Amino acid sequence: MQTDKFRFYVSFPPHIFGKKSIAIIMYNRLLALCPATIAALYYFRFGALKLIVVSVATALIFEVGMQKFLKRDITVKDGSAALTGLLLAFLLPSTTPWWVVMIGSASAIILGKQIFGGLGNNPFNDTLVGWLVLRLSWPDRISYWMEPFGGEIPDPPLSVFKFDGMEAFQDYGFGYLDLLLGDQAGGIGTICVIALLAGGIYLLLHRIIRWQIPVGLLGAVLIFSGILWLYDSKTYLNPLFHLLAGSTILGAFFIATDPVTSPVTRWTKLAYGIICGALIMVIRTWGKYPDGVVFAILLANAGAPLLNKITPRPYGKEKGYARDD
Amino acid sequence: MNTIRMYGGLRFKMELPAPEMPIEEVPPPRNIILPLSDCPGIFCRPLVERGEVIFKGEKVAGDPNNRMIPVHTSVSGKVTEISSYRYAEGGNTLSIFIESDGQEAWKTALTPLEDLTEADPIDLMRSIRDAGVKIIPFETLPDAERAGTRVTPVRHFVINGIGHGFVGSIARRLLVERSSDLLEGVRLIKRMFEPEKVYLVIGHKHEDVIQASMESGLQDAVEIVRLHVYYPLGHPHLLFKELFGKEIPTPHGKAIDEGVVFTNVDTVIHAMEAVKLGKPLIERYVTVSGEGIKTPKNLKVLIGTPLRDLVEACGGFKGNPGRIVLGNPLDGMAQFSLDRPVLKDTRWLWVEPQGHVIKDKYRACINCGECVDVCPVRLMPNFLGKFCEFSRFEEAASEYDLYTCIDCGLCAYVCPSRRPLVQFLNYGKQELTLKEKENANG
Repeated sequence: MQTDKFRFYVSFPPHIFGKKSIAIIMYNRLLALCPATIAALYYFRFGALKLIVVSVATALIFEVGMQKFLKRDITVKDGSAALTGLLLAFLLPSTTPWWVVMIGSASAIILGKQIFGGLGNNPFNDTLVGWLVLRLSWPDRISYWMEPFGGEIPDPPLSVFKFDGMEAFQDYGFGYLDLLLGDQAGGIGTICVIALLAGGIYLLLHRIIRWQIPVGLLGAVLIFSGILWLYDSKTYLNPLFHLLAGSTILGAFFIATDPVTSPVTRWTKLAYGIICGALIMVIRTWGKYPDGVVFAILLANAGAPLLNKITPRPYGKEKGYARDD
Repeated sequence: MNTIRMYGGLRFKMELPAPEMPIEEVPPPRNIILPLSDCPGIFCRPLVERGEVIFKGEKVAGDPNNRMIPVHTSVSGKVTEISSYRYAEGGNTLSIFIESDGQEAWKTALTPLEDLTEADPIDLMRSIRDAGVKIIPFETLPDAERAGTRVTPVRHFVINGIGHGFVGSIARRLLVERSSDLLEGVRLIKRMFEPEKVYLVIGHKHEDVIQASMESGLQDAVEIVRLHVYYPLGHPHLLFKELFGKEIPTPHGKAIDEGVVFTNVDTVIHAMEAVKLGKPLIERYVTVSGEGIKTPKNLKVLIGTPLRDLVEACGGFKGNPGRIVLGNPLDGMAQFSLDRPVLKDTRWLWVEPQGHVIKDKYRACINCGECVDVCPVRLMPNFLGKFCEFSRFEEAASEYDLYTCIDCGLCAYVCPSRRPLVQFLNYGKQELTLKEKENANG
């Protein structure tokens, strides 16, 4: 027997891997959020910059801190904490005090993610958990809305509609183009719909997200509000407003599509999207909150494990076969 | 970018260096190793002793109970040792070590048979079996011999010319070069099994195969099926569905129960050589490819040749090799030594350069559903992996159909968390088998 100068790696198959990794997914999502970030900086200048920097930095610091404290591998480089921080900043108005953002970002990482075991084990979207903490603790601190460039409408269109009624809403005369380009009051990243759409299409083209959740969500919102509008166009809003105002687009492309808290198969993803969209409309129409995206997605998160019970029929089983359990 | 199909497989656009080159012969090796078993638990009994002088083609081991195919030596020379050798797949296996004398002296007990029309199918089956070729699932053979009848009726005979559906399969090259031999093999199959139809499955772009089969007349003898190939279409379960539109009942169903037999191109050629030339199975056709090898080649190798000779025949490694894999990169086994011999099921040696070896630590499942999308048998590898990782094997088997898994490796390929799903699932299957055995023993 000869002895070899080479030594070989031995491992279980497969020996080659696809290009997608957690880091690539997360960095692509961050990249897709770039247009919206630029729009936010353009509209709110220093307010947005402060918010984004504080939120992302806090998220990164607490990710590292918690992982050290819990003796886990430090995986901050995969970009998931940065994404959480950025999305949280996007949901807040530019006037939010820095310490409120810090608390929100820290609780998103700690309560939203790390206490459940880190990325992959959180039952609820971590960004939304952070937002919820702020919403329940300092509801007034995160609702000093401001229109870009000091415009004269200080409230988001949906709030105007909810609290001031249809007449006031029509008096303001929101234009579709203004809403599309971002000339509305709202969370810094949610207002510029066209930038968010560009990012969403980028994600779809690169197969980072599947079409099922955005299409299901937006379709459900459109159909639900369309039926109401056709039934009585004097009391209910035009479906297009529901799409363009509030954080519908951000939710559809970036928050609801979070892989961890959405179901796994294609058709349950579609069902999940439809549930999200329907809940958004239920909250907007009959609920207390003007923009129900966060609560709708959190509620749908709770239902995702149930949807995961619906599995495809495996190869070689008869239709309607019984599992022997 | 690779295309994921709707529930099932991956179409690899990535071109592995797949040599479309003529088959070259590797010079006979100095030393060979022949294992006496190719499935765990059953062994052939050696028919030679240490120090005995043997001739090329001689039967060196056989199973008295006819459960296994016999082993023939591929060189003439002297038996140096009969002891166990460690294989990456099956662990320690009793093997015969033979030192070649370089004489190529030939001796075989098989007699060539020229005229097929007179031969009894059972005799033909027996002579193929004696040559060490396994042409149909082996468990059906002894029954038939005992009953003196034909084996399980074969209605459709499928010759797989696409390997596993991966680029770079040796079958395509064989189809081009050995088309007329394959035609003889098909005639033999028709005589033995009298199937309604013989199918030859090739990729839809393989024009060279069509050309060769037109020249040799193979085209008229078989029904050529051209498929859009994806990995792992070559697996019998998936090929069955593609051809006949039905699914084999899982987990314990077999294609043979439906009267369908799947074989490879090389097996048909070996069977033909066994009957017509009286030549036992002593050589294999192997593709050597991968980015870690200097010149990828198609080789004709004697069984028992160490992998080192194959690598040398291809001009050695390019840079430092990282992994050598027998089989395709998605479900083949990584080997730890170049002394490891070529065996009866070796078709592909794939060499990965050291720089390409991924040594990531795996992380928690992030529920993305990539594995569910790609699974060709529509399982939920994410849940199966979690259940098996935390030793809840029964739930994995009863609720998520663990045994339906065909080990294609695609779930682990696409996993962004780099979870070793194939390993988890195999661990689960193994533990369940052990538990069943324990229960059976009381």
